[in-house]
Amino acid sequence: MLLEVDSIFMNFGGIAALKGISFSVPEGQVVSVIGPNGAGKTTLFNIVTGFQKPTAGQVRFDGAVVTGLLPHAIAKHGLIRTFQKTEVFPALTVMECVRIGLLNNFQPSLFSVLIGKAEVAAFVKNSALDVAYILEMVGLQSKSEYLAQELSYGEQRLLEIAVGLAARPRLLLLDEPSSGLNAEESARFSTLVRRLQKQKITIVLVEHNMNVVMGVSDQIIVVHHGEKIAEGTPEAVSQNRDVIRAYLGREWVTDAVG
Amino acid sequence: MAFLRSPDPRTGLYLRWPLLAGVLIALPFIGLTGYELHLLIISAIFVILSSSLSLIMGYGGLLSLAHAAFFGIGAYTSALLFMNFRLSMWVGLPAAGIVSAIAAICVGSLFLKVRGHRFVITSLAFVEIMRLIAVNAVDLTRGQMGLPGIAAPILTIPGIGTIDFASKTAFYFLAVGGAAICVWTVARIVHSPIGWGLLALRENENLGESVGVSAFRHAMIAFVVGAFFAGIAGSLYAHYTGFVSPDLFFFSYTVTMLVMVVIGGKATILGPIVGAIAFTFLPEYLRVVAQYRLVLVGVVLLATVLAFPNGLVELWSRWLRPALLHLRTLRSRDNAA
Amino acid sequence: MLDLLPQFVFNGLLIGMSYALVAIGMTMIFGIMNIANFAHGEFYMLGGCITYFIAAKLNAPYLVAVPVSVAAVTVLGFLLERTVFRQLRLKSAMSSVLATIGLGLILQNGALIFFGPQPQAIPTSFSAFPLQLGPIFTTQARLFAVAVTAATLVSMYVFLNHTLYGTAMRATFQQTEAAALVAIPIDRMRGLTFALGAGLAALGGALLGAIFFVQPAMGATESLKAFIVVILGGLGSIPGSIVGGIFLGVAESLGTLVSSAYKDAIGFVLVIIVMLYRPDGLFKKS
Repeated sequence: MLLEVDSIFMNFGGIAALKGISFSVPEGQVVSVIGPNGAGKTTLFNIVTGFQKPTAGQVRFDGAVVTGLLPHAIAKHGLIRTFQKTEVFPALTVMECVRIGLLNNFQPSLFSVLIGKAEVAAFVKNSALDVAYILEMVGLQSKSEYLAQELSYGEQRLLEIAVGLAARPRLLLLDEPSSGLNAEESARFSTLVRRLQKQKITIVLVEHNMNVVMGVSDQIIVVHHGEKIAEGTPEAVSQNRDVIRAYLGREWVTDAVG
Repeated sequence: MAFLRSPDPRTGLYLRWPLLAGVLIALPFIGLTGYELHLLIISAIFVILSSSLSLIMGYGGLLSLAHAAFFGIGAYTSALLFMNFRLSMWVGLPAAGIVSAIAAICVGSLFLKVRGHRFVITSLAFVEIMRLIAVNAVDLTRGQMGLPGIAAPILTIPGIGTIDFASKTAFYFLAVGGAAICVWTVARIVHSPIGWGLLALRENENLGESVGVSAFRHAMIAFVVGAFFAGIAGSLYAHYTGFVSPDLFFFSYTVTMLVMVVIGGKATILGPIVGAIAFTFLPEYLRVVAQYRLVLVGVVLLATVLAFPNGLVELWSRWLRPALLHLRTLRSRDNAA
Repeated sequence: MLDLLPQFVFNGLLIGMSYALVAIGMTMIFGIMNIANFAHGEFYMLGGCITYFIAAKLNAPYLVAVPVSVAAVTVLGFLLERTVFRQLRLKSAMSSVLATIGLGLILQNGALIFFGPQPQAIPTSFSAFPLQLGPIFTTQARLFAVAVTAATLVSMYVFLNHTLYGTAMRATFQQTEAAALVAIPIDRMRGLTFALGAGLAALGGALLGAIFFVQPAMGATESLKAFIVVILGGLGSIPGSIVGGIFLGVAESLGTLVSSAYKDAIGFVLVIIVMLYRPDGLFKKS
């Protein structure tokens, strides 16, 4: 198991947002976390990636305990995330944005920068190639000199993924990546996900778009009111009574399962 | 909209360095008055201050009002070493830089945990505390009376002779040399992966964190390097003017540094240099009295923020970059044809 | 020394209430525009200096000079919001801080040029004879200041909580988007809130100017103190500003028992501590 989420509890001043969630993500799979809005999915992501500390529980990445580490330390393990609201570096060019992702793999000390160590220069020189490769993978190669804030919303989403890819993730957590994308963009995104999976990147999605979820997932985890209510293959989950009840309400259960 | 990008160091700038160096070296010998030379020395010291502040403000995105505190700490360190132990500037200068850097490490490890308005106000509180200490710890600092008689150093080179840096020409080279080292260091950092990390801190801290860029580490680097050079500038100022007082912690010094960074262009290498020279010479040539100078500073700050937030240097490159791109497309069209 | 305690507390109360007046305006501006107004202390200074000008140079009675100068600064505040601050809303946080610093410099040094640097005393018709209330010695001017400030703070409370206009104003700086949704004219509210804040600060300066000296340099310290109070009390909280102001005033006053030189440092150290460990303020409202 690459990622293990172990009994995560999260209380915000009296409100229990997460009530003992546990699941595991095997390496190389695409796992989707779904659930009605307000189910606590983004909070879960924040905890896993270090942006919030859980009230209780543990997160393990490749065996190492990462709970409570600062986000940048977790990122160094290879656990990279995107954000629900698209985040970019607004005043930087697309190329400069992606370049920052490369820092996850190499950060020189102040001393080595000042004395001009060869490995620093080599890194800077190779960064251009690395960035070009990634931009081509997401399809933004023609926009490399544009400022991030000049891109369209869909392009900014791709840029955000590109920045994450530059960090050489072993596991990529995508928070509602297809929100705001039209049907064609969503399809392109699904293709990208499958391509990333071929590159041995494990992917965890939080998603609402069921086409995407059903199309790419090896496993689906359903979260409702801060608890995991179902887990399994897309087919199994789509027939699960608790899932149907959570999403559609009690009336639909007998009809669907029959 | 090429704002916030430094001029490309690969083209043009390399060709300009020898020319610039030649001009700077020749300057004191072309018949300037003592007064003009004095202004050049002050400008050079302020180039150190504004350039180091731009690392924190322009690239790191942190509005630090504490820069004058490190300037003052450096000045007092150097002055006290001279007054109490008769140590020349050759000891005082590096000591000033190191003491300021250590102070920045201590203060920064607390303050750099917060951002935005909180950081600004905390930094202001810090420099005010330093001012109070300088005024009230009379046994150490002689309070408002200050520390006078800080002599400029001399350099004895065996076989050649002695250079007395009390001479303006000699001190000019010292100050310009210091400015050159500071600008070089800042440029080095900015164009390195550490510089990329600083931009990440400025533009989107959370996104940077999510890809392994520690916001705290980069903020500390900028803050401590900035403080180091502010301390160096303090030592130079002390040994040049010969006098150190709590006035160095005054807000007027802080806002002067701010306006120099902002008017030139806060996220460029050239901008703070332009700003420092402009705001040393201009008020002198306009023959303005202190209060009017500060009104001018206020007007420039306000006008710059409202009208051209990225300073004079960006204004220039805003016309330059579209022109360059235009030329590039024309040239590639010619090549393709 | 302990029998002097009530005296020091009373003195601190007086100063603290003036801090509260300035801080209220600052916290409202922060709540409604999300701008830290580094020039706010200058409204306090102008309140004092203009009152001095009217009373000393134009020979008007103090009780006329105070409302006139408060009115003048209120109008100035309104105009500044319309011209400068309106544009700052679109700018980054750093830009707006730099702009208000610039504005503060203009106001402070403009006043220095106009009024001169000398500290001046505002002539009043109050007798300088000390009055004794139990263990406390005070003067008419101080009692007047305390009374007017207390009355103003109470009126503010009533206005904000029990009038339609005041509730609308409070809604705007606590929840701007929601206020806009219920058709509160946000732009007008901003101008009025800003003007009100400026006027309150000016009142503080006018009242305290009759007790202590006025000089153009006094605005800068007041700004910093007001920031400290705003942070102690919680950004955007008016009760917090009042409690925080009094707290700081009394703390500083008691601090002079220990060391009068470092009295100002109390506030600075406090704000650093609060900033780092309780960034939402000491008096958190749940």
